[in-house]
Amino acid sequence: MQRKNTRRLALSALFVALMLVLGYIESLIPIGTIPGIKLGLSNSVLLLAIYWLGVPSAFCLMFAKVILSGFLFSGVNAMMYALAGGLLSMAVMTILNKSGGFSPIVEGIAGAVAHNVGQVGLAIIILKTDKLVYYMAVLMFVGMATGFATGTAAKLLMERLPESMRPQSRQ
Amino acid sequence: MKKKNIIVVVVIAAIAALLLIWGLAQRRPIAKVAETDAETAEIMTEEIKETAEPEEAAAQDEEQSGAEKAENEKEQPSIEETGSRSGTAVKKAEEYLEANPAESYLLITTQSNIYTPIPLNEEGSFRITRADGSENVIHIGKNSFYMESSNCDNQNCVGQGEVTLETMNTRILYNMVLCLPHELTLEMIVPDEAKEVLTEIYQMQEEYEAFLAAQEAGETEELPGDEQDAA
Repeated sequence: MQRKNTRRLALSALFVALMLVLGYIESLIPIGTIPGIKLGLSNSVLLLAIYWLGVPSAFCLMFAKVILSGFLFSGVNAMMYALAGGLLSMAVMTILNKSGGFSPIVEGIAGAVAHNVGQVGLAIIILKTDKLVYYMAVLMFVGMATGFATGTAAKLLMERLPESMRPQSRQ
Repeated sequence: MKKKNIIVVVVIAAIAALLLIWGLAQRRPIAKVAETDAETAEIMTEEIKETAEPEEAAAQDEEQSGAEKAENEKEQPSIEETGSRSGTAVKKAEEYLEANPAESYLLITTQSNIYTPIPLNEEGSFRITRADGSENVIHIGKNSFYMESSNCDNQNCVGQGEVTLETMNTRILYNMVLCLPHELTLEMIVPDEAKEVLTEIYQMQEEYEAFLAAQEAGETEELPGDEQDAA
């Protein structure tokens, strides 16, 4: 029992560190003319966490990532948008996962799209404008592409990482 | 199992496509360029039916074409709703537009204020500071503007580029530059929209002054609506 908790703890810490590093690296990649586009590579880690660590832990990892990367990189003001995106993304991925029978790739797609919708949706609500809907639609399509990438990454990770890494039972 | 996956992806793509079409309908035609896309024309008429503002629709009907009517209906959610247009407000708006003629104006909206539209004729920069220490420097030119600098931690606004009369419909963010951390919105508006905004602003001002006068006379304690600043 103790060994399993230690393993979960170590894995969680590893995941958070990984997400922070991924967040930093993807902020260095210039995407182009569309502002606010991020690859969202952290979603693949969160998806893996849902499978391996369970939903409550995965939510904690998401909060940790949002708060930490807000303080470290993107700034406190932008944190609420990241939080909105993260919450919606995790909710959608959790629902799909718990319903069963969905491929991680599709969960990744839905998660990335939900993340973008959450962010732009919050901006629409705060600024009380509906002119951002076109931007949101564009981001949804981009999210489908990035979600495909992150979902595939998560699927490959689950298949290729040694079983010994995975905690034996969920809490 | 595979069918489920495909269904989800298709649903997401369908929703995104619908939103894309709706977003495209938000584009502002400059000088009555006809919308050739049949779907967007349909959506625009639906918008007119949906927004139930009978008094304002009646007041505007004589002046504007269908396309601009759709814009004005959508313009309203960002400004506090009022009843009929007061004649003096409309007159003041027209006077302002005559005194400051331009092909396009810059409309600045912050969390609590809407500023009087600025005519985009000459080159220049100006700075907006707020009480919480946030600063944005905006550079304007002939029918164009962009965010020159900002002290937000995001710097997304600076990278959003320039809005010009030509690119206003084709940019991703259309006619806007947003500084989200500072809740600052810069919009390029054409003179008809500027008149609309100005009328709202002056009307708000009148109502507020009337409210102040009434308050001094001790008559009412109710609040009118949002305050507006005239720059």
